Amino acid sequence: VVTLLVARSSSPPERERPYVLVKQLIFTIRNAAPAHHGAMRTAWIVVIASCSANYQPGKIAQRARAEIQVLGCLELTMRIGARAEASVPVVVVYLGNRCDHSVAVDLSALHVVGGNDLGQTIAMTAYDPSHEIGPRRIDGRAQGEEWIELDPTRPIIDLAWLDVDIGAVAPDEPIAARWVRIPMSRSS
Amino acid sequence: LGPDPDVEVVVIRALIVVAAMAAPAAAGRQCEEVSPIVGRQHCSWFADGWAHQWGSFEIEGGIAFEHASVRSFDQSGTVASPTASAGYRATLLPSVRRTMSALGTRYGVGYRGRHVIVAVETTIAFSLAAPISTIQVEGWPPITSSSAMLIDVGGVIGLHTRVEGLELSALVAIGVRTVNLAQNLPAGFTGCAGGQIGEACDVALSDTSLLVEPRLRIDRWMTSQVTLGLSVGFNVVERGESIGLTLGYHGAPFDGS
Repeated sequence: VVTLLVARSSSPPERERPYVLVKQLIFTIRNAAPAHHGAMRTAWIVVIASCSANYQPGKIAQRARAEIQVLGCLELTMRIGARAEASVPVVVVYLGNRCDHSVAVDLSALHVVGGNDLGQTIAMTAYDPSHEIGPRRIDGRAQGEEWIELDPTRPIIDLAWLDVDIGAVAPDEPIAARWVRIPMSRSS
Repeated sequence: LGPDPDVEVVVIRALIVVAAMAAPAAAGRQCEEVSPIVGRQHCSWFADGWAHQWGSFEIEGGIAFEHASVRSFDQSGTVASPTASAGYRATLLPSVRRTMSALGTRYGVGYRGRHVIVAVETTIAFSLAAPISTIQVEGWPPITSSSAMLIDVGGVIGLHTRVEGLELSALVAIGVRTVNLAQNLPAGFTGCAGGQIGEACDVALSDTSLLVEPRLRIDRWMTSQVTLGLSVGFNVVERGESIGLTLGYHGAPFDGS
């Protein structure tokens, strides 16, 4: 629209071509300059905002305050999340992709076992009524988080920890059992 | 005298359509989320926000240099001043340049899949050099003009592939190209009765033609969501070439690839 407005007013009386060309060029630059400055500012804001959004290796550690597990390009860390709407444990999985290309992630391959200080253990299954959890590809230089509610397959008292096998979460990487223990916080 | 008002309306409408297409993405969803837990979310879903294997949108803008042919014009009509009306005939001078060089802006919005690009685009450029046209109003000496404006509106489709930090694309732009040659009239004359002044009272030589422009394009990922692209195209309907330098913002990092 700005460009059109410039065009509208950039038709000075013209009798001689060189004079008109020079005048038109000066007029266009003079009128277009503020718009170009605005566009440049916007462009830089976009670039800077986009730079800050880029995932940098290790960034998810700040959110989970837990050790990062590295599976090729994929970084993963977890913590227990407390939500009023869930009466069973919720594990928050933080994902980060340290590469410039997407990589496969399969959170349905998480294998979770819960246990207590009495020595009891129980398999936990993800609450997934719509069957959403499945293989995806996390974008390059992207991060994400998923809150997954875990139902014990049978009742257990005083759940004290969750053992999570993350070995199959990155299908592109060699699959081997890799257990990570997440202690339950008192509040959860 | 400015561009043809009808063309202007079309372009502004096209820009509004482009903005409307981009608006939902920019505005985001209006839904209020009730829970972050998978299966209990109302507004989002699993992997929402970090997996875009189906691609994403792109908004881009930049500058374009156009070199285009200008077809012969021979337009006649009536112009008027507060005291008189007179017929006119506007033509391109014979044996003069029939091409124009123009510099302007190019904007576009579209979808970028893993290997497919579909977009709409508009380019508005002003002449750096244009054919000399002349208008002869009855009873007045001929007046020459060499000011032109070019407007392209259309769609772009094509394929792209990623090579490290670059995107290589083969595209074709299909649309319409309008070239306006502004005409200066004798003092007091306009295209409206009584010499009225207004947007619809300009007199311009206007020509619209089909644009079919195969393009080669290379984009450099500046960040995971910003690309700087250089495209070169050749119009196969009318003689013409274009060079575009655009900055693009992508809705998903690396378009999910």
